[in-house]
Amino acid sequence: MKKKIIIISSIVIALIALLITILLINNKKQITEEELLNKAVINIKNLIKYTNKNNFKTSGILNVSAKYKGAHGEHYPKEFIYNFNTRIEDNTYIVTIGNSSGYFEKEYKVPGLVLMNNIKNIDETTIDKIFKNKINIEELNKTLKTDYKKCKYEIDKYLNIKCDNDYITFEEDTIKLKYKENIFRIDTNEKMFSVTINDTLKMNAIYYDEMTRYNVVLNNNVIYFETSNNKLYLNSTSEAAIYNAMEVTVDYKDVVVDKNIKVEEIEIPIFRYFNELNLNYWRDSSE
Amino acid sequence: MNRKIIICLIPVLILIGISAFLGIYVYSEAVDLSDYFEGNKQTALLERVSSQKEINERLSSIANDKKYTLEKAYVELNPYKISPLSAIIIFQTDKDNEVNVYINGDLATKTEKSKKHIIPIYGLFEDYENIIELEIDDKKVEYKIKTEKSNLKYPLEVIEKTSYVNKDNIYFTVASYETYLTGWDIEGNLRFYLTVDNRMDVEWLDNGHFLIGTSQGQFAENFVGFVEMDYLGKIYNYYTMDNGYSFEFQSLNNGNYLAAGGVKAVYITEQVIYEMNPKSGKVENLINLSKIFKEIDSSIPDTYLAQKAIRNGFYLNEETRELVVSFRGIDTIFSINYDTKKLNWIFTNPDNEIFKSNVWDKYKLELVKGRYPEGQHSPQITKEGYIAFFNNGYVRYTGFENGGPDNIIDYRRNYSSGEIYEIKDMKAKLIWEDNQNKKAFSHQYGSIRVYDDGSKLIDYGYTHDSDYRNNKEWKLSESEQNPDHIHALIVEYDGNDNLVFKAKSEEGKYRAFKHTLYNELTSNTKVEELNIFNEVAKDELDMISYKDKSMKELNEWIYSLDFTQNTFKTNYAIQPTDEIKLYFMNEIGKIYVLNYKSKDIETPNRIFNVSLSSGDYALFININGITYKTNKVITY
Repeated sequence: MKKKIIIISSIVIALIALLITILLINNKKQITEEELLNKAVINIKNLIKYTNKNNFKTSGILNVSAKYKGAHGEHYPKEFIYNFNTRIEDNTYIVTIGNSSGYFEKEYKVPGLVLMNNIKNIDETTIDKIFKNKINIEELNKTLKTDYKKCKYEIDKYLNIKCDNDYITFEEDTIKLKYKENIFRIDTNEKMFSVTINDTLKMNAIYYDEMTRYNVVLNNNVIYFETSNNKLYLNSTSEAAIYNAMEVTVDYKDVVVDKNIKVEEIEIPIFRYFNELNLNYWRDSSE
Repeated sequence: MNRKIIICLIPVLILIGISAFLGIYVYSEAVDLSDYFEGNKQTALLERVSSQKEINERLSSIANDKKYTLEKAYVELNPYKISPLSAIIIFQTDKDNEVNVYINGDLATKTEKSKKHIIPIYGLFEDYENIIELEIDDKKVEYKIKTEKSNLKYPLEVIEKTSYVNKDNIYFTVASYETYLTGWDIEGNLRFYLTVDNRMDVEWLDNGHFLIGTSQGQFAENFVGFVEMDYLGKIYNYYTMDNGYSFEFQSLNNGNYLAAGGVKAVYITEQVIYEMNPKSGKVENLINLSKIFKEIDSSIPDTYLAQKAIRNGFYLNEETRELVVSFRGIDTIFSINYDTKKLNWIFTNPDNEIFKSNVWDKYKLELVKGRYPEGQHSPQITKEGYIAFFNNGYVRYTGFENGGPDNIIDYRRNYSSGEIYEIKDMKAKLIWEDNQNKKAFSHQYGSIRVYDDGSKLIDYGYTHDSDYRNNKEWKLSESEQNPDHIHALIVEYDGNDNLVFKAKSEEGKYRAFKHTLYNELTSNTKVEELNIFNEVAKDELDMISYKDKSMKELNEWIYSLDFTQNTFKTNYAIQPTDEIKLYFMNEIGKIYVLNYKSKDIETPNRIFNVSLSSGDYALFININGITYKTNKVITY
């Protein structure tokens, strides 16, 4: 009897060990479609919430430190103070910078501007409406100002929504997006989000209580900025023109740029510097 | 069933079950870790050095292969991949033989007696079928070596040469714009060039090799180390020094090297000159230049004894033990007793506000004839004991780099010159000068070398074109963007002060040298030799495991990343308050942590020494608690 008990116990222990092993191998939780969709919606809501923290404002005072190149690692700085205004007209950013010596106004086409602004301004109710009954194409077009004819909703391992030639895929904490030949990848977590566009523009945004820190790498140019409710700090460390780097601190204020004297663009170091950087990342020439 | 068998079977079954469980668990964990080891693999050692090991092994194996004879030798162009106008020829003979080496019809050298012949071929013409003849006793065998066009953008244009110029001279130049180290013959033909960024000073050794900086870890003109190299581009010794290296070497009669650097490498807070033993890599003597000045005048600003000093040259007279040093940043040359480390004198404008305190009066030389140093380069003590230097004629301390005048027309009367002074009784008297009729103004770069035979080689390294100098709108700072409006002028005088050679390049040249490619007798190349000296102080490393909470969420590293065992370079803008750690994870998930920068240290960069045992390590970077995966695997 004793012998039988011992034999049986041994076999049971071995079998239990094997069973635990099998369970470990199959330990991947099965995720339901509903869970996938909910996670996607949460990710979008969080992303929009965080990108709307510490927004950029449209006027203020620029303190510019232009770091002129020295041959021995020097950055001998020259300081300038300007007023600035920005506004958006159609798909164009218009930036006006000036001081008592003169002003210059420049237009910038920022590709994807319309889409990015539309996404940033979506409220939670609208998101719920878009994703009600899988995908509401009318609500989507209305919100993003797009004109998709057909949207297809697929669940494979991940949630994938295809609208005409564009798509968006939700892979756990990663969002992959194709818009007009441009490929986006967005990774999110509690502390930060990262965006890559066409493997050319790469950006990390890290959230802190009082500010958001952005690191942008674009064609080997690195631009760092911190935004808060009343200030922006920008530091671009690429060499361009006769500068080693450019540092700008912006105090947001209601100011007006004096437009009495127009100067050459090259006379305003901040324009001269950024003109020399290759900041192209968009594939669609129509924008 | 037999009772004993059953009793034995029971623990075996249990063990099998537990082993299976553990085995599968460990396997699944290992599979997880292996994901981190996908990515770009590189060595911890500077790639330019580590890549030579394989070449050395291959050539060594060829050298041991008896199938290669004089008639059927092994010939390889550019064996070390960085010197396209060089080649190697390898074969064996039955007896110890010397070999006469003819290159394109000229007897270039004779090699040492040996059975194993590993002959370096230097000075090939570019885009040419070079003829190499090897002669042993009465037998001559010909080999043809075809080279490619260099496509170097800035050739050397010979303006003038006389019959007195040595036809074996090669004029070497170092430049940091597009070309690196290049060598040109007296006709202006390119005869040597490196395709990698090695530069600043070049110091030739008796064995025909030379020392040159590797530009590793570069900040401004400061590097971590340097190499001993030959014209094949083969590295014999590679030194990474705790004091780093910048601008200048000197090889000494006792076999040691004198080099310039900082208390710590690259990010210089105090300037030093150190003497090192090349066989051990150890520093045997060190002079802290900053301390010498501070002992005399504690009020002297620290910044002008640090990076801003621009300590761009020195020279030791080994007999008199006098060391002269140039601090371009404060327009000053000074003399020190090498043994006592005491200041002898300073040669600087009496209005120089750095030395406004009375304590400096007894050290200041009085100018009897000539000019005070202004933004000067390459000080030297000639064999007669005179002081030679290249006087840029540009007061660096008040130059545009420090907020001074930037319009080039403000400098229309400035000129540069090669100058030699007699220093006697605390007086400086100009005894020789070349100033190109005061028409050459080179606000940066430049050199002069006075040779033992009295000949002089001067490099007006960044001479502004005359039409540019008279343009009211153009700026000195603009001129440094590219070499479009400057040129380098190289002139040579013989011992009788006859001009024997003059040449021009449209690229700025930091320094010019002259040297031959071969000694009269050349040793066989020691292909197996590659010594690595890492003298940077080792960093203490912390340890965590891959299960640490900082490894839970990994983000992509989007910035550039250059890593070696001693250097970390990135275009991520390190903020003064950043805390940065480098993680090295081995294949079993153990992570070694280098604390690269702490929150309370404002200086963003430093040199370090991460010493790990052999193996592969996945590299991660943690900034302020957020960990990034770099997709780089470092092999130690």
